[in-house]
Amino acid sequence: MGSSALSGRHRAPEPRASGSAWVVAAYKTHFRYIWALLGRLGVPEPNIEDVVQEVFLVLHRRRAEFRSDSSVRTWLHGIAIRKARRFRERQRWRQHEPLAADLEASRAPTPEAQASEHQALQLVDRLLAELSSEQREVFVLSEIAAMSAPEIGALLGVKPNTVYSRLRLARQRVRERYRALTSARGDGEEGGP
Amino acid sequence: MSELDDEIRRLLEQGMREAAPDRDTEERVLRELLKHVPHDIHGPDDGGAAAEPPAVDGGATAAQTVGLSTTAKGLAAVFAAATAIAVTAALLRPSVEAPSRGVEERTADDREPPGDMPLGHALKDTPPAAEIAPALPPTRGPDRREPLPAQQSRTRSHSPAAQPSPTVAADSLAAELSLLDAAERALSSGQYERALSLAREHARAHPSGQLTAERRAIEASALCAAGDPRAPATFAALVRDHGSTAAVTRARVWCGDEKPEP
Repeated sequence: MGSSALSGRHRAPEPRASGSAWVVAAYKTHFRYIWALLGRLGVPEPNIEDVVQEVFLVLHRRRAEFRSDSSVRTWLHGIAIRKARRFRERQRWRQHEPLAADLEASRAPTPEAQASEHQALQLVDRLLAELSSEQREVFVLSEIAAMSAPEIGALLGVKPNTVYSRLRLARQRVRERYRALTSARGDGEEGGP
Repeated sequence: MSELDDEIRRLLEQGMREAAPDRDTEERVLRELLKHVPHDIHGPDDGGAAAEPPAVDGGATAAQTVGLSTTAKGLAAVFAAATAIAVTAALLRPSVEAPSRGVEERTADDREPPGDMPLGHALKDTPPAAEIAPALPPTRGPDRREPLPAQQSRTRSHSPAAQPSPTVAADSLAAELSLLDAAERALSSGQYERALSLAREHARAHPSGQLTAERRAIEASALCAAGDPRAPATFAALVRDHGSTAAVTRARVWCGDEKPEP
């Protein structure tokens, strides 16, 4: 890769040369993806806007540390993971209740919602809600962010073997739940429970 | 380790597409973000980081960190040039909303490296997701190291080959921004010829750019400010083509009844 932080055939602004332009360019490229990613990392929809803003503010503030041979996207993954974790911790601390249960309840689709246009997203979130936080992070980073095990390990501060282990369990759980959910839906469509 | 079924993989991809926010949200969040990003695009030696070192001491307040003293005019200039999409009216109505909760609470996060970032370990740029399908994961590059075993034989087919590269788009937008920002500065400092020259350079480099209205507004403004006889026709054409945009409003300051801000 060249010296550009955003890479490509054209030269992107350097972080040091023009911080605002740089972060705006990064925002334009990655905002929608990071938004969707944060949701899959367990940040509820109403809170994503705040968290995604924090992510890009951190990117802006820490741009001086950005290395030209690294990827803005990789950087954003790291920031997003941290922000999502911190959000979950804050929520848990504030509510004094297990977060997973809250999230599960808030994400459980209503009958109306099931008929909505976001059925795939609702199903994805139901599947992800079945995973532990550790499994969920690894699963999202691998299956959605398309990162390799060593990359995920470095990002999360765990060994690649730990990543493999968590990922294996997460995939197994997702597969099982997916089959159960789709089977139940199929039965429902055929006559209802 | 067995990999995911294709069916589940497609579900994930579809879910991410559905999760992506709409353009209005994108513009609104950018607007909020720019309220807290110092307007350091100006100044030949602002140096971004030099002008605003990263908050690593943990002692700065949120207000200090995010540079809330940025002038409304500066923000409007950056934002108008940065977005140039259907959010311009908002520039003329500065939001009275308080900074988001997230901004106020993020001071502690400043002390934290961006995710204990694997900076030395980072990929040689993973191609970013396509702008029009941003939820899709990046296509694995040829230089990825040690893919997960179950992924080795997997080919992901969500790279929209026929779609424009978002990286190129972002780079191009940034280049446009840079040029027009310089033109805006020249205009503000009374260097009308230079402003025109930079606007022409923008027109040559980005004939179908995203900031055409802004460029034309600068041209009209510079001509008006210089008392050039071509000014009325140029301004009229701008109004005709970009009637209710913020770019026209900005040009009206120079070409209309309004007086330029000091």
